[in-house]
Amino acid sequence: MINMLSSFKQVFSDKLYVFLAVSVFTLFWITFNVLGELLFFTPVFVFYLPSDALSVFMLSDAISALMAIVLSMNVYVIKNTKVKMNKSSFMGSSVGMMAGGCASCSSMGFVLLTSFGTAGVAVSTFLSNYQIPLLVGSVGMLLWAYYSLHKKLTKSCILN
Amino acid sequence: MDIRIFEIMKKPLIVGGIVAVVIAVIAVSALNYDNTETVMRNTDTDSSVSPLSFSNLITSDTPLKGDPSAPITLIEFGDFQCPNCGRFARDTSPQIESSYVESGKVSIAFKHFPVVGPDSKPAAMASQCANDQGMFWEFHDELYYNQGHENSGWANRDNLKQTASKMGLDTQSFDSCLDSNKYELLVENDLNLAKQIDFRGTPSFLILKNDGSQPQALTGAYPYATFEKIFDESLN
Repeated sequence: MINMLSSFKQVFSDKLYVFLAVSVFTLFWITFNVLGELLFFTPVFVFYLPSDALSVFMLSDAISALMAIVLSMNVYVIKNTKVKMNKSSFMGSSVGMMAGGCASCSSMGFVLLTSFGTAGVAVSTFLSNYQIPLLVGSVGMLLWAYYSLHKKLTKSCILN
Repeated sequence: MDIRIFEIMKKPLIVGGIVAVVIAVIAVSALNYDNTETVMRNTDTDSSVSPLSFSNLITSDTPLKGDPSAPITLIEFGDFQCPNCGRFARDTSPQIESSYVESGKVSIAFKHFPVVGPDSKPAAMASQCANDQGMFWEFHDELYYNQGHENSGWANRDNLKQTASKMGLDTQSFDSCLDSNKYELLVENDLNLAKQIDFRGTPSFLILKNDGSQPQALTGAYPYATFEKIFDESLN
């Protein structure tokens, strides 16, 4: 575990990456909570957390945090090596964004139906019904991405 | 290419600027998500009677909770399969009822906006059949408090009939009402009204004041705090 933190410390000793991670976390936290209808800007700025939304809220927080860390570490790796972006970070981020962002897809059923036909409704039903397993899967992929990045940072020659 | 990108990334101010723009775009999208007041323009007509007046919207078939002469009427456009409508019914509506409906300041009406899937319309029609027996709100609560996954069959006709039976409704009358699609036209009219108002999702709300002023529209499962502010401003 301590070993796993070494790459974290290596990347986030630079304030640029701390700033990048905080920005990414904030961006995704706002996005997930607006789409999940937990955060409202108008007519009153209000955040509320009903009991039925607790598990999704916690999982989307974890995804936001992991995306912030993994994305910043990816930038660090790309900047300091010639390695391409980690595929599992991309997959984990994409699944997390779709599942976290689609918390209220079904509520937009009319728009989905008129814009994408029955396929839109089928996709939104799938994302909504399997939201928690998809979010858990996304956390798993992002953790794997972190592990992969850690290995790259500790095993390759980093030009710092 | 990579070198250029990361020369830019080295400048925190530029990165911060990009992030700020993205956040601003999201914030603006969030503001647009609330269609308060703007949608009313779509329903403006030259007619002397507003199409969104209480008398036009609340008919004898419209389920209404509270004092019909309350200064404010909150009309929900909902779908029984919609999870966020369920959240509103379980979490926000009871608070509005205890603070505003019981004191006669607000009445709540329900209109159908069945958009989630094929079982949404039968569920809407079934609730109107329950309304025939004076049990709309009980049926409404029964569906929302036992809501299943979207389009999983929990709200199909057989299950709706079973729910009515368990609640002690006259099953013969209820089944006949549902099988004959008695309220299909009413549900269609509600749906068309929601489209006309330009509601884009469920739940959506119209807030009517009995002073004849322009109604306010909202889309989203807003929490109690939002409704509290709107009601208090309107009542004061």
